[in-house]
Amino acid sequence: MANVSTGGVICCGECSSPIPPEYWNQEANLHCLTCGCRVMVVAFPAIARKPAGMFPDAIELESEASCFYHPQSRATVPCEECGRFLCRLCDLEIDGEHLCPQCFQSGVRTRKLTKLETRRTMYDTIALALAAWPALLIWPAVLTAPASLFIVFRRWRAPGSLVPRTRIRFYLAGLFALAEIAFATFTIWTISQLSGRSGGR
Amino acid sequence: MPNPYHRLTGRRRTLLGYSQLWLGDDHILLVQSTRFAEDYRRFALTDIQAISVTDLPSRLFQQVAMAAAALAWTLSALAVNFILAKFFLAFTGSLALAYAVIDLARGDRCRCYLHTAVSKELLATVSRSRTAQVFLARVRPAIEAAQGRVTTEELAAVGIGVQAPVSDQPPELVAPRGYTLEILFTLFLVDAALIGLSVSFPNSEIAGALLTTVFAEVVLGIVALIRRTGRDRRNIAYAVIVVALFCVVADGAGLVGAVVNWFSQIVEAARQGARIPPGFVLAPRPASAYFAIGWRIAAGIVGLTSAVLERRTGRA
Repeated sequence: MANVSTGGVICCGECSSPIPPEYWNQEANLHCLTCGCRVMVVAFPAIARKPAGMFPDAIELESEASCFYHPQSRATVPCEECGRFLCRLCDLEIDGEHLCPQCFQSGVRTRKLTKLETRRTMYDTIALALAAWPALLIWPAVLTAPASLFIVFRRWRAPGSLVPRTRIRFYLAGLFALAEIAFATFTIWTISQLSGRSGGR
Repeated sequence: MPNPYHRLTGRRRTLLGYSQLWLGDDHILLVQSTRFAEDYRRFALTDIQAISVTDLPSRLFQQVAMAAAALAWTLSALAVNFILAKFFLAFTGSLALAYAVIDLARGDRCRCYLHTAVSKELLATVSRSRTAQVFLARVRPAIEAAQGRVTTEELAAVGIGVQAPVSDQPPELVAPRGYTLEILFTLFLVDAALIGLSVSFPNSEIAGALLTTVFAEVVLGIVALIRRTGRDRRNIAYAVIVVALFCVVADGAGLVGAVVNWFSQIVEAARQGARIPPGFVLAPRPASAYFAIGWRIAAGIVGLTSAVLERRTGRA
């Protein structure tokens, strides 16, 4: 379902009929007249808040500093990364830090702004999948076990999930990979020994 | 540094991954995982306008029917002789039965939306009414701590024109257009006649037709229960269908056994080089036959009568 702006309208989740404000924040569940489903709406003060747009002030005196991106607008704060002056429109405040749009973008791209991270790769799951799944077919594990071990060591310090998560997958991946490598080595050694004995006869 | 996130809901699993909700210091975090990567969406507590929870129509009949069908499938393992077939039927039936029981135990389904000024997000992890209550109990204090409580004046100031007011009474029902119930109960009567004929003339091909019609009974019964909406109040007719499905369980055990024995006869005939495979012969014990005929006649008459009468009285 597409995420669309509500425009302050709260609708029934089954038939999308609007629910009027006088029925919000009621203790008892009410029935939507269109579809008959029970509906409960919990509203908060943000719904009554008008969207606040920060229009910049125009420069009145020549001595006033102007915004780097809008020369006609008065600068109110410098960017704390690059030092450029910013008007109210360009000022992006993240955790009390004022940034310009360019520094904001590069902060997201280089993951300096962890609070805005939208994606992380789970290397522990990748390593465990490489160590576990190919082993079901036996021989592909000869190739994937070293790859899994490589990921374990290479990505050990990589940031994991934002939410609480243990390192058990890394440990299991390393354990499985080592076991598979040891098994493969032992098998090859045994075959070579047997071939040597049969060739010696 | 301790992790600032506290779990709000369990994981909603799909084939490709899962999603989960977490509560941070000043936002709700929606984690959508494809197992090898996680995507995050944050909803600031100060930006949340509303949370709406809509209870979906009850599917109790469908859930009970599914449990009955799963039980029938599991019990049919007793009617077959092949060990492999026994294991397959018992294992798959047990899984289906466990799923049906867990589905029943988890309660009614619901849809929960989180509204902000720029989005209306369906919270897939909040899919059961009980989960929604727990979710609201944890999230509401946090949001009210960030925003405060909304006053009646603020709600009145929202001033949205609404076309469809809500009511504390369910809406008027509309008559369904289909005749699935009537067809199903007529099929019961037809099958009762067919079973009687197959018992009286065991070497005829009537038993082969029964394989199709009994299967049609089960499919139509399940379809009728699935299509039943919360506003259809033909309770007697649907209760008869549920009872009939349980009776099909008892019949089905014998029928599955007969089918499996028929397959083994075909295999044996092939080994002996027979050119024409043996036909399917249904030779139930007299008690089983009388039971199968009896319940179908009863269900057909009672169900047909109640479906017609309830439709005329406007309960349909």
